[in-house]
Amino acid sequence: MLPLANIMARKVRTAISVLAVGVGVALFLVLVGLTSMLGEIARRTTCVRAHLMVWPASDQVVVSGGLPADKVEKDLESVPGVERAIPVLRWPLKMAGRVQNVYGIRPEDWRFFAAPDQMIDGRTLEGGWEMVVDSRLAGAGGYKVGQTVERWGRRFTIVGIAREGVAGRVFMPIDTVSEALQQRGRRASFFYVRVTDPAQVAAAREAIGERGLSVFTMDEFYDVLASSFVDMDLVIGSVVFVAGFVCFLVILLTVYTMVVERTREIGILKGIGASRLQIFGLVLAEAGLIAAGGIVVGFLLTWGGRTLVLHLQPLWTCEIPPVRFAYAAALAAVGTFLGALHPAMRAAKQDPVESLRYE
Amino acid sequence: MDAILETRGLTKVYRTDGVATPALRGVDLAVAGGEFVSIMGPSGCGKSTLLYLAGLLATPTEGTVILAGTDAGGLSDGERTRLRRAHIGFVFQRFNLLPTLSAEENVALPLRLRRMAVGDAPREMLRAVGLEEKRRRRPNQLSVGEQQRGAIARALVTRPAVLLADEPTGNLDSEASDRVMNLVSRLHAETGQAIVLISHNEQVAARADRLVRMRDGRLTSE
Repeated sequence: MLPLANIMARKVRTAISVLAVGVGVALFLVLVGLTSMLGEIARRTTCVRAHLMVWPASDQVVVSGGLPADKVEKDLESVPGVERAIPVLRWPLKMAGRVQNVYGIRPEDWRFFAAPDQMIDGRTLEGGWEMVVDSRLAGAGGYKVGQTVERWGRRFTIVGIAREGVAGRVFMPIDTVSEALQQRGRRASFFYVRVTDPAQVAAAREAIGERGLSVFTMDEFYDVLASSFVDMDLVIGSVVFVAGFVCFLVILLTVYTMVVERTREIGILKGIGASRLQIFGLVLAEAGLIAAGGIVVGFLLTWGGRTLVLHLQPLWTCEIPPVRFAYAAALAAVGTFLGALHPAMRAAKQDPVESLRYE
Repeated sequence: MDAILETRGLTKVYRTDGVATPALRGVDLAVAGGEFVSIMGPSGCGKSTLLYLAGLLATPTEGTVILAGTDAGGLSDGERTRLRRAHIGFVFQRFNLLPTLSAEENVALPLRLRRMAVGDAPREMLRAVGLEEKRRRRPNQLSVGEQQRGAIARALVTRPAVLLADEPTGNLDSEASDRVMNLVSRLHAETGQAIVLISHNEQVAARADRLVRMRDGRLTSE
């Protein structure tokens, strides 16, 4: 009753404090959401129905856009246990205002990249100057089946739209990409490798590694991508610190001002029987109410911010795991507690006689 | 009659920047249960200090306070708070009610602080002081006299053995002052609580069973 009445007595100040805490919470959550974009790319890249990914070794000089696809394919398929080597020529292409990685694949390999029901409109690749896009890119660029798109000085026809979640946002026949890039012979940026029996993955991996190529299981490659996000964790850590510190400062300033303003009231409360602990609890409860309001506002701002970001940048991903909401609430709660601690202790220790004489 | 409140050799010296200012110099005062005592004296003579020490809001430099048979001298802050809660009701001179609460919520506050059942007690106390109709009003919607009546209701809602009032009519005009003092006298007669009241006003002080005068931190006459 009293904590709520007290914070409602200064509506504008309370609203600003709640908003400040909310902005801290939303800042943290939206940033966490945006970092999910990197995870989404890693997830897509490794969702192909294969067991291994084979890349040129890091010290290998790759010319003309990639490995010689036919030669490496034959070599990989000679490894015992390997069922199929799937070449991919990956190349950047600007679509819907952003640079996308085109997946140049053999049309017959489409089945490894998507289940039949993932094709939601049109058909898969057959060959020639055509492309398949995923639904996210189609939505962002307003692309439709049958539409033509001019790129690399050529006119491509969009022949199909796949549900988002497939490895690339744009697929083209590998020979078409090679031709468009004026490469001599078929080239591959990397290979997916499928083995006959999952029990043979380790042996196949070892045999391919002996050929001087970098080879990863899908899980390993996911981890490689994930480990390249270390700096992002640092950024998130910094934002956590800044958001928590802002929360701390706002609460400290607000609650400290409230305590100084109400010096005489605290004296009266002690006079009518409030203990130090009750005064301490009263101040913390007021700060807690501001924090609770800030958390709710922060969640609403997060929803609004996420909606706005995805509206402005439809190709971005902003997934916020529920547990992160709990982290954000805990962050605001800890910042609030620390910020309110000093003013609450000051109020609790306040000399009642001095307080009653306070003008 | 046994004293419900007693001070023995009560001395208080305030120190500011190394300068000692004596406010009380060995005050002995005993208030019997149900007795109404007025303390009069010029400004700065130590009346309020005596009241705050007697109400266990401050600790004496020397001497002790015995409240309801308990010597408060060696008690911790928490024990003093509990003793005060159990036996003392306070009325201050001004800005007595918490501005963010209604009159009824203000009166309920001592009960809540003591974790006692609230029930109809605040409303009944407000009826007793003539404020039942205005119980939902905030202090700034009440006259100063009404605020003091609300403060008296709040001080008495826990049925304390001793009511300590620090110039409760100090900010009131004569009409409002009379109404408040009539109320104090009536409640004293009805409840039998001991009252220690500080006042500058001879007429107000004269309502008490006993008048005590103070000067320069000492009791000068009874």
